[in-house]
Amino acid sequence: MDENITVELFCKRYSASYEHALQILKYAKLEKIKKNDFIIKQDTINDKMYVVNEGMVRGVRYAGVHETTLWFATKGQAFCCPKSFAKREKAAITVQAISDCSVYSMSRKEIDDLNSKYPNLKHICLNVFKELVIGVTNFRFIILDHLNSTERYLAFCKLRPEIYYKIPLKYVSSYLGIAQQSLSRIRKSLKKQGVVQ
Amino acid sequence: MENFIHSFCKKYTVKEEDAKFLFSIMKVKKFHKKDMIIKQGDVCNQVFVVKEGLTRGVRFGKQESTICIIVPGQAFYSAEGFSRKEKATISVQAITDCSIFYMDCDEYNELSEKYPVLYNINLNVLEECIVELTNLQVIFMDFPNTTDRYLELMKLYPDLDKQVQLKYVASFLGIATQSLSRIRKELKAKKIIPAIAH
Repeated sequence: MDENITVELFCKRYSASYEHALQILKYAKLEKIKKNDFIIKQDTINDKMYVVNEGMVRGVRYAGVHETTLWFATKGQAFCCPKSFAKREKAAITVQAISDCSVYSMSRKEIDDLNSKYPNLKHICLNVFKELVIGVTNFRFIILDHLNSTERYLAFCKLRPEIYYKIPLKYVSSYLGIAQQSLSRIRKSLKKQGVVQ
Repeated sequence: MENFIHSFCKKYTVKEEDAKFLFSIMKVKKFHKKDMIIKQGDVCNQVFVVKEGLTRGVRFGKQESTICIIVPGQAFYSAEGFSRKEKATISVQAITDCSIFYMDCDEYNELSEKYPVLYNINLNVLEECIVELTNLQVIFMDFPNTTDRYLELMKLYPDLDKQVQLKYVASFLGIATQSLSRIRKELKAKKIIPAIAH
């Protein structure tokens, strides 16, 4: 049942047919991950592509004591470390489960083999990549547009209307570069005005 | 082999014959300095490769921010237009007079069915694009100090200084041109960067 919803969401996000999505996921492993566990670890090589089946994960970059949340992925959404996946280099990011999760995983080789065997699946891989490009770019806009804290939060809500209210505040504040206390105040005020959930 | 083909093959791990095939089916258009090739807010469903000249990716928010410098042999497109037929979130502007290869995305996709090599090129371009964006993101996150950020940027793009005007490098770093000029002067005095004219 849950898997069906994952496939439907995957199809919608990556313009894939249900049959093709099933064909891919049939070859993938299903891994269970506990809340706070790492799926991809910064500075290690992990060339797998993942799709979230249950729960939510975040991409995070650690620099010294400082950490920045880069993106969130939820049911039906694919994620990977692009550097490891594309070039087998050490991962530039960590991916952490922010709730108990189950994720589908496939190594780069498994994906390449599948693409050679079934060339009609190739376009799905392209669509996943295109969405990853958009995901990486979106993060920078929130910073680049020189928005104030309230504007940043509203931009994020608009960007991820389906999940913004489900993500623990500490991760949203790390994503937006706003102190948790300030974000809590902003959110309270916007909720009161009925602007956000 | 022409320079842009060599750069394209190296950057995207493409065979020379495949690159030549690609450029034989793309059309070429000339742009003047400051022309907008992709306009933020418009739907752009074309893919491009720079043949000659330089362009920059630029985001117009409360102020303008240069996101990337695109050199000969490098591909670009509006990710939103290409995959979702949505409005572009950045502009791409010619910063010198340019010749640019272009092709409609739909045509590219149709031809990819017939010529699988076009699929592979697209895949490699996208992969490289994600890796490059990630590298830039890392610079912004790991180096809050502008001097460090500038030095890291130079490591990533050693020729950037020679290729583009200082104002674009400054806009890339999110600082005023005067501030970058001062930073460069200090670094030259300390012999951390060579004293090349700009």
